[in-house]
Amino acid sequence: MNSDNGAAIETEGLEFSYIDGTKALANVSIRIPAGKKVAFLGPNGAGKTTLFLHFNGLVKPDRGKVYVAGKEVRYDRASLLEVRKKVGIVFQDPDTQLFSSSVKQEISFGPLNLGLSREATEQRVRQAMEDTGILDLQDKPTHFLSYGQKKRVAIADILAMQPQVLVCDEPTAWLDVKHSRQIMEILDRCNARGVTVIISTHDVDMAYAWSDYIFVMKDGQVISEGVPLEIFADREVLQEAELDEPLLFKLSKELAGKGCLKEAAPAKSVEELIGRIVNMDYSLANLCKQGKQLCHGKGNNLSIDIEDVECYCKQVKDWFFKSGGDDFMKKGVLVLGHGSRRQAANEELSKLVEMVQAEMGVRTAPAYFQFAKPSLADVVESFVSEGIEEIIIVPALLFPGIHLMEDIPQALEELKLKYGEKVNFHLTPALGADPRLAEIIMERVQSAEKNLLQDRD
Amino acid sequence: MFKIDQYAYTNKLSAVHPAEKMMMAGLTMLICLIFASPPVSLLVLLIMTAAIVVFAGIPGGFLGKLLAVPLLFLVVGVVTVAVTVTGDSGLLLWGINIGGFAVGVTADGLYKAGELFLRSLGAVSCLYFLALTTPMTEILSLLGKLKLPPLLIELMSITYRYIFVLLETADRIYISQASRWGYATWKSSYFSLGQLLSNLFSKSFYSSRMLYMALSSRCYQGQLRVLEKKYCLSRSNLCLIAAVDMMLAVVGLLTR
Repeated sequence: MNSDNGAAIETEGLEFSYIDGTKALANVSIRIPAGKKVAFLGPNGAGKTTLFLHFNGLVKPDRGKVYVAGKEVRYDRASLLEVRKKVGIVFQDPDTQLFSSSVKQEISFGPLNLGLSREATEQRVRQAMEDTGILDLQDKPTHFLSYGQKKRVAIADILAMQPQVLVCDEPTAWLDVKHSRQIMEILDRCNARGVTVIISTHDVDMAYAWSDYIFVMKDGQVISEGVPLEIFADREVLQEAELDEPLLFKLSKELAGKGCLKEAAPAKSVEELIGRIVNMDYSLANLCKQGKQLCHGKGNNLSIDIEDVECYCKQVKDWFFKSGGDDFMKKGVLVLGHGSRRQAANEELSKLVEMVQAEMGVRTAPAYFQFAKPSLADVVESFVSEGIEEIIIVPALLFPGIHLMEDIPQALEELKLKYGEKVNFHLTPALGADPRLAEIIMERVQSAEKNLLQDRD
Repeated sequence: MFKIDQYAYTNKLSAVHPAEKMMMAGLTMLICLIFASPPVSLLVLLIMTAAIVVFAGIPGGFLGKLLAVPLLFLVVGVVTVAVTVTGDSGLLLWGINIGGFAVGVTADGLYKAGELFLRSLGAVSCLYFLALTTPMTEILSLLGKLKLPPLLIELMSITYRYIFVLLETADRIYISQASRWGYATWKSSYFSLGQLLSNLFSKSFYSSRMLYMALSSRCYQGQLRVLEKKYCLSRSNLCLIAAVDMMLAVVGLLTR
């Protein structure tokens, strides 16, 4: 049966040409993982349908082999029956598949061919109709059904045979959104029971959100395979197979690039994406909230997530760099740490400085409040001598010391007195501080916010 | 034709055992044909009309239209029976002389024509009763139980199923042609119709190949085995059928 490391279907050097000489498949060697949701993507005429017809021996390849659950497919009667019991195919056009005028009789055809008894068939037919939500259609003649209903009957046809692998050729073609979703839900439930589900589609959004593994086909060849994130990150493959980037993937990437997402990895559903969007309120009040949220731990065991720092920096940049034009040469960022006798604690800050520098893209330097060098005054002095006219002080990784609570604002006042004519000073909310300390800094910053806004106007 | 099919699935008698309906239609028709008596034929026509309109709930107007369909053939047939060509113009109720012959109607001929007309209509109404109340799928499964060769029944059932697919396809081709002025002139109509037919043929061929593939994919081994619907014969219905047909037979014997 299906196991995670096994292959549901495997092909080896598959080649197939139609009678008119058109090459439909060229050297297709793939391994379809068992128990997964697998999608085949590719333009019309890429050979998806032809490949599918090989999966249960409906078409015999010119060259190459097919293995189902590890066993090579042979083309004698008995072996074919065995393979078709394991692999069921739902054809794209239900009208070519549904031969009976009665829905119930239609679905009973497969199980009866498997040699099941009347009772067992009856039970399987009922189960398949329940699974596809067509119980109410059982007494209707096939030709009274809508396209979407026929499609579900076509799936029930195969489900009633309880295959290990369910192959669906274009399951959502020509269906509206609601019916497409119904079909995909049926396939999901199937997969949850351990059935390997294989589909072909042009719908990149669906393939991206739904599948565990994707094969990309073009001109009878499999040109790429992998998990959705890999496939859609590969621009060359997408271009070659004439596929678009999935909307969600594209949006996630774009938003993550602008620092609006908590996590950089592309979201798989709209809900997931919405959940990851950070509040894009670029006010200082919001920054303060952010700064507060950044603190993990207590006392002198503070830590910050790197992704959080990136996000925070982007917002600080957006807020402070709006003012005073685009002359980045005249801006400087001063990351003010607590300063410790322990060298390791100070190194932590150096790492942070590198990251802040990378994000802000301006002159950035560390300074320590106590015990370590350089001191706040020294760095400001050197900034001023470099011609920097706007200094943004980012209090970072601060742990509580009673004196600090008042000392930072006080030091700032002193600096303002000293350099007030030449230099503008801004204090940002703390980037990682003990919660109590962060609170105090936040209050200071907020009171400064009004002044800053007035200056700008 | 589509409407007949629809009524067959949706009429009020659709839940009745198909064998009962077949018996009703078959026996009654047999009686109607055997006795060849106008009162019996008229009774059959009335009973069937009542069964179709009252019991099966099919609109009388629709039945009227259906009965009008064979009327054209009937009238032509009946006229040829009614009109006699004879050398002795004394037999004729009414007639004209053409050369040495007289063409006209005799009393005997008229009676025969009337009897034939009623008998045909009676028999047709029996067939309509079956067609309007019993879905094709059930008639087919019944024929299977009557030990008709499976091949014949499978052929019939697939033909029946694909009539609809074929008509739908033809309809789609027709629309696409008509929307491009394919039937604007006589000439283009002939051309388009030819295209439609040839297209339909190649599509049918493709469909049959795909159908075979789809069937094979579900382990088809040369026989279309499907679940049969279970019905219970109703004693009261059987009694009713027997009573009606006995009554008809008695009327037939009396009026012979």
